[in-house]
Amino acid sequence: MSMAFDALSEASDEALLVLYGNGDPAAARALTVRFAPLAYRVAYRMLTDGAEAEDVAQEAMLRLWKIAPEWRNGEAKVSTWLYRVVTNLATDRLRKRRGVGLDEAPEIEDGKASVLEVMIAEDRAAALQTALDLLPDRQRQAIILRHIEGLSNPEIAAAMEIGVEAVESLTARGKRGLAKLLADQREELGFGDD
Amino acid sequence: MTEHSKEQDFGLDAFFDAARNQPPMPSGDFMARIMADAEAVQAGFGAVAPVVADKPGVWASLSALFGGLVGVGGMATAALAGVWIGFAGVGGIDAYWPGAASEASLASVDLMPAGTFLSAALEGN
Repeated sequence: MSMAFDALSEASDEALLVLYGNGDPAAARALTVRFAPLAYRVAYRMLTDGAEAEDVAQEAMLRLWKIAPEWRNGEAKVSTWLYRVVTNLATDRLRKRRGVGLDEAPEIEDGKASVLEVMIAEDRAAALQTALDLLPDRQRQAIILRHIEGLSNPEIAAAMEIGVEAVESLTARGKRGLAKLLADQREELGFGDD
Repeated sequence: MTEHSKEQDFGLDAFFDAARNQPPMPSGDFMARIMADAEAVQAGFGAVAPVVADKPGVWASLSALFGGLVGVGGMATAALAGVWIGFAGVGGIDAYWPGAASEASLASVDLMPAGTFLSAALEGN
C-alpha cells in the first residue's frame, strides 16, 4: 500500500524508512527530499568540493536504501546514522586527498590565516567554509554538526562514536581555531564592532 | 543556562548563522540520481524477498503432500510398523494367524481339490 506524499511529510524518519523497506514508492520520494539535501550539505561542508560531495552523499544514501529492510525502530535515529555515514565517508576522502592519517593532520598555525586572502570578503558563509577547510578533520566534523547542523552534543557523540566530553573538546578547539583563522578578516567582513 | 550558551562564542555566531542561511544546495541531476537509486534498490526488495519468504522447504512440501502433520504422523507409524514386521520375520505372524501352524501347512493347502470333485462331475455326465 502506498501512502500519499503529503501524508508522509508528517511521518517520522524511522516510520518512513520502514515504509520504504516495505516497498512504498511515496516513502522513497519523501526520504529523498528529506535526506538527500542533508547528505549533500554535510558532505560539502566537509569536503568543499561539489563533485566529491555528490559522490559521498550518493554513496551514503545508497547505504541507507540498502539497510532499510533491516532497520530496527528505536535502535538509532535515521538522521544520526546518516550524519555518521556521510562524515565517515567524507573523512576517508580527506585522508586519501592528503595522504596522511587523522592524527597526522596539522594543527592550526598562525601563518595559515593568510590563506583566507583567497576568500570572498563580503561572504561570511564562504569565509567560514574556507576557514572550516583549514581545521583538522575531527574538529571540522564536530563544528559542522554542532553549530551548523544544530545537533546536540550527545547526538554528535553518537554520530562520531566518541564520548560527549570528547565532542566538547573538539568543538572548543575548533572554535578557537576558527576564531584565529577569521580574526584578520573580521574588519573586512563587517564584524569590526562585534 | 543552555548547553549552547555555556560555550565560548568567539564572535562566531554570525558566521554560523550565515552558513545555516546559505546551505549548499544539491543539483536537480543529483536528486534525480538519488531517487533512481532508491527506486532500483526498492525494486530489488519486491523481486527477491517474496520468493525467499514464500518458497516452501522440502519438509513443508512433503507435509502438505501427505495431509499436514496428522498425515505425516500416520505415514511415519505405517513405516515403523513395516520395519518392525520386516525384522520380526514371517514366523512371528503365526501367533496372529489361528490355525496356520507353519509355512509347510500353508503350502499344502489344496486350492483345487480336482481328485474327488472332477471325478464326481464326470460321472454325473
